[in-house]
Amino acid sequence: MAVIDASILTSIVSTQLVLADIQSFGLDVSAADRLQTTLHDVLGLALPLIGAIGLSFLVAFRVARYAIVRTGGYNAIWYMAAGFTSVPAAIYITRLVMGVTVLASARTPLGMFLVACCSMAGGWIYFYLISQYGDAERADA
Amino acid sequence: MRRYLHRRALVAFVFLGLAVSMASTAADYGIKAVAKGLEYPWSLAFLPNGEMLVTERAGRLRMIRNGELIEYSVNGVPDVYVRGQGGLFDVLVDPDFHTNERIYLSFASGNRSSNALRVISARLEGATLYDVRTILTVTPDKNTPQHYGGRMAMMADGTLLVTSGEGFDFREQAQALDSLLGKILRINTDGSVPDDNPFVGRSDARPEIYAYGVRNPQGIVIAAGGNVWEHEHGPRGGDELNLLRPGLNYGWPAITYGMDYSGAYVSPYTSAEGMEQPVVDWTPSIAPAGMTEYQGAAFPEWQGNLFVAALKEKSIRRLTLAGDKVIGQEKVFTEIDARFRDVRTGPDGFIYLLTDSDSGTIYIVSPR
Repeated sequence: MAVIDASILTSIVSTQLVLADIQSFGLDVSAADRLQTTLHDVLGLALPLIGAIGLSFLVAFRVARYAIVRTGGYNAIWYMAAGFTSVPAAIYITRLVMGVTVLASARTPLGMFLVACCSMAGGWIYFYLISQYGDAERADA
Repeated sequence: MRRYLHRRALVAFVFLGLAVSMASTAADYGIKAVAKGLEYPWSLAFLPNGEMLVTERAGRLRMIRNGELIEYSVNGVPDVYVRGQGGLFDVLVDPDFHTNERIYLSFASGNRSSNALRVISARLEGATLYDVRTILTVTPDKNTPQHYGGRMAMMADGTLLVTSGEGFDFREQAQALDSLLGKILRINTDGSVPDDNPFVGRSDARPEIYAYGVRNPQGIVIAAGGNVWEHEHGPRGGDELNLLRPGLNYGWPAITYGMDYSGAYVSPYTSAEGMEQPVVDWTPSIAPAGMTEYQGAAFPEWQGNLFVAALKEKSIRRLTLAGDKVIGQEKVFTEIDARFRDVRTGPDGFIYLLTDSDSGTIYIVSPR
């Protein structure tokens, strides 16, 4: 659920950034076009984003869990921090390997920050879910 | 009786048309390899003495003499940044080579954090470059090893057209007139800017710009009639053949028929006021990487056709033109079954093909 939510959020934010660029070229983007493009991108980006964010979260939340066990502190903060750093780290590693930024919205510092915020939201959702439905130790350790 | 004659005339006309059509497609040719084992050969040029120059993307300039690839490479080629799509790109021989011995090379220069497309002019004497002069360095520099463009063509007035890619991560700069990324540039062979370039005198634009709004243009040809044809790689779909006019905007990334590799839109729009439409849109992508206009005597049925090398499609596309329009397309030379990087017309009228691999081959197509 956290992965899907973060993916949808990331997709919506990415589309708005791309459309802002289109507007900067002097084109009008109507509300209908914005909605259609956003929906299209949510579906179009679903598989790659779910895959990439899922893998990132898998690693990041294990690290967060380890950190919670070792050092304590607020669990929500650890999971949000893990979310905030995980996807940008994955994008950075991909960039090192491929030489380019595969997610267009993450090419600028603002875009990368917003993408990080989306994955931070995923971290909070993960914390919320395990605190509500998961084992108590994982959420409250 | 009159109706019967009309029908006969119509049938004869249709058959005549078919015959002409078949004659224009069914050339009888043979293909043979001229040189093998080249490391990602990128471009080919012909010297007046019959020798050929071949660039290898790995940074070497090679020579073919008497049909044999010379083992050593040309000395004096500047340092080339070889990574991703970067490397040594195009080679062009000056039309006055017999008097000035000058050639032009385009290549990626710099390093991982700061690199750019660069063009040099040099004097070729034997197998060595002398008097190497940088005549263009694209700015701003970039930190990606992709989308350099890198093709060159000489206009009838002696000015040089250079295609410049937008660097992949910097696609918005294709619309920015203060940037040389994502542009077709026109310079004099000494690196100065021609006075009649479309943006000369504008404080908000670089004077080198001839046309803008292009993505990764890897083919440019100045046709016998003066038309300037350019093709470029789209993202996923949206490869384009464009007819270039000075000062015009070819749309990238504001309008495109392609999609981002991620599955998202680059733009939801395929047309907009003030932005040119491609003459041909190749969706799905064929990955056009080099082009020639056939103007030889060996294949009179192909006279004036454009030939486009396609990497992804593993074909050469033969385009039949009628004025400014493409009225027919055909895949040819697919029997080679290789990614094609470039296609050239030789002074002998034969067609030369370069395949794209770490052990690339130059093929020659001649009448059987």
